[in-house]
Amino acid sequence: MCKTQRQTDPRTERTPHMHPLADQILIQRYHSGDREALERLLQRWNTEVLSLAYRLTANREDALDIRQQTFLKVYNALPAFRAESRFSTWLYRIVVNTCRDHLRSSETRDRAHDDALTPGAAVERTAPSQHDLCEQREAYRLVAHSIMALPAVEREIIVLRHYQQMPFTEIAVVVGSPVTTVKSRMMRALKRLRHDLATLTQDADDRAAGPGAAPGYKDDPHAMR
Amino acid sequence: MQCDDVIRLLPDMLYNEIDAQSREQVSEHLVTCASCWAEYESFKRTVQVLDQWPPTEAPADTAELARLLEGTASRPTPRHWILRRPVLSGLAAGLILFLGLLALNVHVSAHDGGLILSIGRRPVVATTDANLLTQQATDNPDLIRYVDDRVEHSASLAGEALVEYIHDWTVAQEQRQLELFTLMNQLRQQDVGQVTMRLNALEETGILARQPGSSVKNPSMPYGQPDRQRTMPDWQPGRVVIDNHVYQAVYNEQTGQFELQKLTFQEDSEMYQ
Repeated sequence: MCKTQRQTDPRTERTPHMHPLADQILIQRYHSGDREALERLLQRWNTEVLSLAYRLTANREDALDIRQQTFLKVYNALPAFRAESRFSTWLYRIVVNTCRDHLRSSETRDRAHDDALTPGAAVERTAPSQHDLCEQREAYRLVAHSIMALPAVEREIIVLRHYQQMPFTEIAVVVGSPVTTVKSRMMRALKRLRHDLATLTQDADDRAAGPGAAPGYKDDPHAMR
Repeated sequence: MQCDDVIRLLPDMLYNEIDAQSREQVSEHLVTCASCWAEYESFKRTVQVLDQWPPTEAPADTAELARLLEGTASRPTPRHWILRRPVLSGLAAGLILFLGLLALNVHVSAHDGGLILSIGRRPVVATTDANLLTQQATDNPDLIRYVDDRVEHSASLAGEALVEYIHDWTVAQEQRQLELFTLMNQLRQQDVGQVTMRLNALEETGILARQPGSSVKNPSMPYGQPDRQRTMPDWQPGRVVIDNHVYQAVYNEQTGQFELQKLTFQEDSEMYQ
């Protein structure tokens, strides 16, 4: 079915246990009546689904809800799932769409993200001192806030690329936009993040630059706008 | 390589999606160009900082989840509905698509400002055209509520975005048809670039088959008015009907993209070629 010499999927290489064939085998086994196959399928994707939902909502409780909704939709659709389709892409689309719905609903719109960004919401890293712990906590809050402050379309792309390590071509399918759009949104997101996170990169030039300017090269005709 | 090219390739560079040759050219440019180098380095720092947001731990409850899911398998009693929704004035495309589950043969066709989706012999459709408003029982009444709910909140979305909402409720068979439906919308708006892009993306995921499947003769199908009977064309994967024209998605080896070719109806064989 592939028309070109497709390069090996870098994600497959990095995480060989997530090979698409395994999903197809599990689904087939489930169709043949192997009930354990369902649990194994959920197990394979449990962390990824939650991780994606968490970073799109910055709220662990919501992420758990979304995970459950996602798996329910998967379960309902399993009986007719075609083996030729890539399960992972389809699954990620469901997560992304479920998160979009969730973030649009009026309940969540009014809720401040601050409530959710408590230390318990994320895995604590051991720090040698209280000062470091406090700094770390601040750092992650700032990163999370900055990502949540992005427009939804940009946030999806940066989360999928950076945290889910998804290649741009796959992101394009998952979010339903051309690759060029994906990449330009990526750059816009990075510009905003560069500005918002300048205190963390400890770069005076980054901080001085606005979200759309190049650091220290305001008169440079080649500077990015 | 020029600065503009380098800037364009920054996402690929930052995430290691660049081919060896381009990477070499970019590196050579970065050695000599201070402004591009500064840009690259500053974005690299930003990307590294993102790792300071750790993940949240996933509960080890998949066994429980699996049991829960299997326990939800239920058979709601089928009901007959007429969708009584006022015209959704916000929808530019003017169409809401509603699908039932468990489709075997799904056909999509455009008709007088509305769109008909039929599953097997049953038309299952919701549109803003009052004449075409029909809706039949499905096995999943929750889907109806879901559509209604989405309609409440999403009246301002264009047709394609709304289809996206409904998208993840469909099974893979319908998924293919929905994608084609979106394509049809785009065709209506003459957005050929989007069409070829979308077809390309479909091919990547394996949703759209390059080779036509087996031909299926479809029975004639009454629409809202019983006196209007129409013979549906042979249905094959990658085939759509728009405004009484049939199009087939065909792969172009030279451009590496899919194109929609208009087919003509062969009277003598009563088939589309």
